[in-house]
Amino acid sequence: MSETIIQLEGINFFYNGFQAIDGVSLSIGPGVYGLLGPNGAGKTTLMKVILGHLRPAAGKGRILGSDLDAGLTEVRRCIGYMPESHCLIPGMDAVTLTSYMGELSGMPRQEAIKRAHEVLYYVGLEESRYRMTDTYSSGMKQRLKLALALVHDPELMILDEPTSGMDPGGREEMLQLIVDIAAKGRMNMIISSHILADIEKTCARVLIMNHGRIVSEQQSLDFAGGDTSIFEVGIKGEPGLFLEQLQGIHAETDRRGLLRLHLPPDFPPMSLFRLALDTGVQIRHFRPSRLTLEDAFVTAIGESHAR
Amino acid sequence: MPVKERGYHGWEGSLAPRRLPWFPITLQGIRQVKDKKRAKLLFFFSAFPFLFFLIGVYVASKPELRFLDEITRVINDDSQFFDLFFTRSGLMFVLFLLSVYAGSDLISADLKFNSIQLYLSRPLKPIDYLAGKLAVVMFYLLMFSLVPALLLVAAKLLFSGTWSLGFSTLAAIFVYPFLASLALASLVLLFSSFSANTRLVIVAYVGFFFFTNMLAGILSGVVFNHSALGLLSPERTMRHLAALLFGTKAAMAAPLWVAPLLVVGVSLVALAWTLTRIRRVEV
Repeated sequence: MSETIIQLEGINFFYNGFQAIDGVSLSIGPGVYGLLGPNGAGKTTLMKVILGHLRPAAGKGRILGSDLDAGLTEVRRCIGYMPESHCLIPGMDAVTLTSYMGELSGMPRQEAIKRAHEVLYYVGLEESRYRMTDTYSSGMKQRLKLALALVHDPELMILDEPTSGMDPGGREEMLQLIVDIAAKGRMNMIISSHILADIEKTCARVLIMNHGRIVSEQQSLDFAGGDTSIFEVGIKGEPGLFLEQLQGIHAETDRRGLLRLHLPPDFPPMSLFRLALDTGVQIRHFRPSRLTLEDAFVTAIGESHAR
Repeated sequence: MPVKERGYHGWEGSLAPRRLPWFPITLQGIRQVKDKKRAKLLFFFSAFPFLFFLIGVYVASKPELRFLDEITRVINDDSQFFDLFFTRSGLMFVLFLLSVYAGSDLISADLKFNSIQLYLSRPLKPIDYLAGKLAVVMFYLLMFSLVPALLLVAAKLLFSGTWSLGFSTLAAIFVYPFLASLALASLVLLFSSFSANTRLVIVAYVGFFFFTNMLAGILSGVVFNHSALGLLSPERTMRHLAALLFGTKAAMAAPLWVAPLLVVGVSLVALAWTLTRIRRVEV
């Protein structure tokens, strides 16, 4: 599982002089990747570069083994793209539209029709598959877009804000679908979102973007509670001396006034109590914490602003 | 049923590149036009010029109807007959109506519903998208121009029992409807790419023909009194083209070679412009 799905080096892209992508280099292997960033970070632009819709001003790369410079029209046969904006072809029911998209990707017509029924059933549109798509609700359109991206069973799926406009129930089911597809379909995915929880729930690795740059790359497993070296500590008394003694240990104060201490592996957590005793403070709150994606996101964005 | 119980299943087949990647767009477009409101009514009326000329061919083959001598003479002259069929039978108006009906919303509806990105996220280039849409309009225009012309050739052969058609006339029967359809299809697609509002597209497209015809009439007949200025009118240019292809008398003083140059030139410019507009659509 060491093959590279997407390899980009020094990609720059400008919109009328505005640099939307600034020297992005990344390597994406098999699995589910999250692309996280605030609005305007360049996520959608990067996805369009990957799809070959936008030609970068500089840089090189390979998508599913094809060179970026050579044009990616043929590569799109192996990519399923779910755009953020609502898009459909008027005057068609869901079965016709889905099979039509399958045909355009190179499926034989009869196979495309059969497969359209399957994927519409899978995404939960079985009841309304013969309804005109222009009468669909927002949530149904999102499901339909997922079906359109899935119909040809692509090697790589690119999902741009997949839960946008969905109610909580629909959103939960959409995330379940994504996890299920990734697991059973052996499919590689890039999911762009600004909803941290969606990314946390679905992605194995997370790329954080800001100002057109990749500012951080994180293992999502880091956020799943595996890291036990972070502790929340509440102190009563003057913490100055206590903190002085913690030299070399990263400490930060959260919104509730609690200290978050990132202890190195050779630092036994219990020795904090000894230190508190020695420096004359009381530890009133002590519990292991975990690094959340929100923490990583805020830190990465903060650091990128500071640069 | 919960998602987990359904489970995702991949597709076992293999995706094959198509020789004509735009062909599914054309097939789908043809189906959609056929299913439009009042399509059958329009198709029925579009067949009138053909039916009228078919009756003419039948009449010409009957010696007992000698009193229609003048008509018979025209019908038996193949060049004149097909020139008349293509340019004076109302067929041009029919083709114009068909181009509005089949082509005005082909791109504008995609702009309105943001669907160009659906096409371009598949293994298609903008030119494939345009080719697919162009072929939809061309199909309907040729269906009511080239196909009836070929049926008339067959009817003439059937009723007279002899093959009288010269090679140049036969070639013209193919070339003229193709060029006329190409010009109309490329123009209607250009107008369709201008706006996401199909009504506006129709008004602009009809207005363009109305305005150019009127302008050609005023400039050639009133202001400059020079018939060559009639080339500003698409309809008169098409008649000029027919005169060249069928070897009949031209109504304008302009050289005959100007007509194909204009028709092909306008078509190519319209297609290039449309392609630029499709490429500019934010995908």
